[in-house]
Amino acid sequence: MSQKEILEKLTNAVVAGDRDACAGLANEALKAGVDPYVAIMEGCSKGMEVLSKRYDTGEAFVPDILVAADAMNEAIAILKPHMKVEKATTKGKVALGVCEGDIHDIGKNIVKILLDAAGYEIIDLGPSVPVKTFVDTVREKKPEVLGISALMTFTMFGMPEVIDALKDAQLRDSVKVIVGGGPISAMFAEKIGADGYGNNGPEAVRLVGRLLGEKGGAQ
Amino acid sequence: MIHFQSAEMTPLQRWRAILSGDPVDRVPVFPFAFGHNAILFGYPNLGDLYSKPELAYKTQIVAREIYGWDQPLFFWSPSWGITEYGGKSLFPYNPKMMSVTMVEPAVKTPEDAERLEVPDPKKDPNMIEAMKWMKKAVENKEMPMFFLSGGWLTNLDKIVEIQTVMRWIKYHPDLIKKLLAKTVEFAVRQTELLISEMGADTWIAMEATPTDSNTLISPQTFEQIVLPSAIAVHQKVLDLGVPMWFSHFCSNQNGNIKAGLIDRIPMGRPGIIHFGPEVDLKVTVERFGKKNIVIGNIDPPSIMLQPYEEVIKLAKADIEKGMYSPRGYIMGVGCELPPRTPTANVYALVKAAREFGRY
Repeated sequence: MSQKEILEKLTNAVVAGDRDACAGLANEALKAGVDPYVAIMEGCSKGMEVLSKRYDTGEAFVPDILVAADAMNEAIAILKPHMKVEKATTKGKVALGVCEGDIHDIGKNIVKILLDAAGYEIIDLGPSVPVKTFVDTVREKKPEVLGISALMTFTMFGMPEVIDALKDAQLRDSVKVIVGGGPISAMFAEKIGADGYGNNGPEAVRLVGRLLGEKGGAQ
Repeated sequence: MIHFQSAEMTPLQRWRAILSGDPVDRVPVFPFAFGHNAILFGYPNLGDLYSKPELAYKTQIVAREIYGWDQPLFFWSPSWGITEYGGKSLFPYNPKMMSVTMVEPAVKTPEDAERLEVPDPKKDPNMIEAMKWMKKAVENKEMPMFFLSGGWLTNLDKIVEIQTVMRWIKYHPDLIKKLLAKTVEFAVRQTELLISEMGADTWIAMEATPTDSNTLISPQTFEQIVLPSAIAVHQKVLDLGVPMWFSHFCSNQNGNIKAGLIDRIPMGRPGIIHFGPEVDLKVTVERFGKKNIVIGNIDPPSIMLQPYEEVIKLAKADIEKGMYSPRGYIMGVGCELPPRTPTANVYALVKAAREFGRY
């Protein structure tokens, strides 16, 4: 198989969520001398990009994203140990977490999968994150973007609390804060002084791209 | 429908009239207020509300008196479909929590799923306690009331972690169907127990189904995996004599509606149908209004965040879309009323019904 064929098949296997095919193709890529970085970025990540577009247009749903991510991770686990260290650069660092009291993290996880596939380094703070943990993360790990989600109308007020705490800690200007989740709207994001709002995973990826000054980010 | 022209009805009169297709004086109002009621009583968190049926009973009655809304009593087992199966739950005693949370699933592996037994609700002390307060409601002629039932993916995600549910839909669809069948059987057992204790005409089965929405799953998945168990649980409960279902089809159900899937679920005569704010109430009225009482779906965060005057406008718009729905209309909030909604904004719903919803 040529490099082009391997990459195309890898893309298709990720889209199909086919873990066995992804593992087989990752090994095939290594045998054929394909650069593992190229296999990840132009094979696996491209598959997630295809799926992300389908998710955005209502042609793919959460189960599709999750099994595609499983398949992609199967391939990455094989390819990554063979990657040259200097190529393992990222587009930027993004910390993600759900407001305290809220355990609904499926939306945050979809954003994480898509950002990860798009080449960002992710710090996953998980569900129900105390305000202090958000602030400490910004101080210590210095992400360029902090993404906060909430599914409940009760917990969404954790978002302005985080923004206020970042201001108090004089860290607000060091990070772009983006918000999302069921009850959140662009109006709410603006009201609380967030830097952006994403209605779904693909929108969040475009938003991060725009905030970090990348070509092709959301307008 | 014929419309009522004389004196003010009481909330219970209005509720019963709309169920039986009789005239009502004005549009009834269901704010879907639960957590808000505990805050109204000064509770610092929602833990007791969701773990103690007595408090749920008391707060619903007093909140209805204070605001003048028409919402009947809602009941649930404080086991929440979690602990009956062997899972662990966490009640919202943390003031930042809004709902009961499953913290340890009963089912973690496909083998666990195969072994899972359908619980016996008669052996669940939480169910017995909930029934005690339902019986009290019957004594006080607070019927018909709602009881939270199941048979959906939303019930399954209290037994299996939700992301596992989403993955198994792809990896083990037959296992998901088996598990759903177990939740249907559990709902049937609960129904049989309730009927044996208080008859079939004192309560209405209800469900809320966010995990089954197109926010998470495709209409195809809904049709192949969810719909068979949804039809089964509805039909079985109706066959046992419960008069109707009240279905809160939560969140975005537009794909399921467009594909004609919701129409295939037996609702009783009439059913009570309620979608999330993602669905246009006009669509609900046109599509489901002949056979079902429809409930409005004002956007919950807007009710909490907008000024009083805006909430009046939102409520008026809901009334204008719904009030002539053929089998009846109830003004409502599209999901649970945000617990921290300002009192004036909650009152705005009732005020709008009085001003713009007179028949």
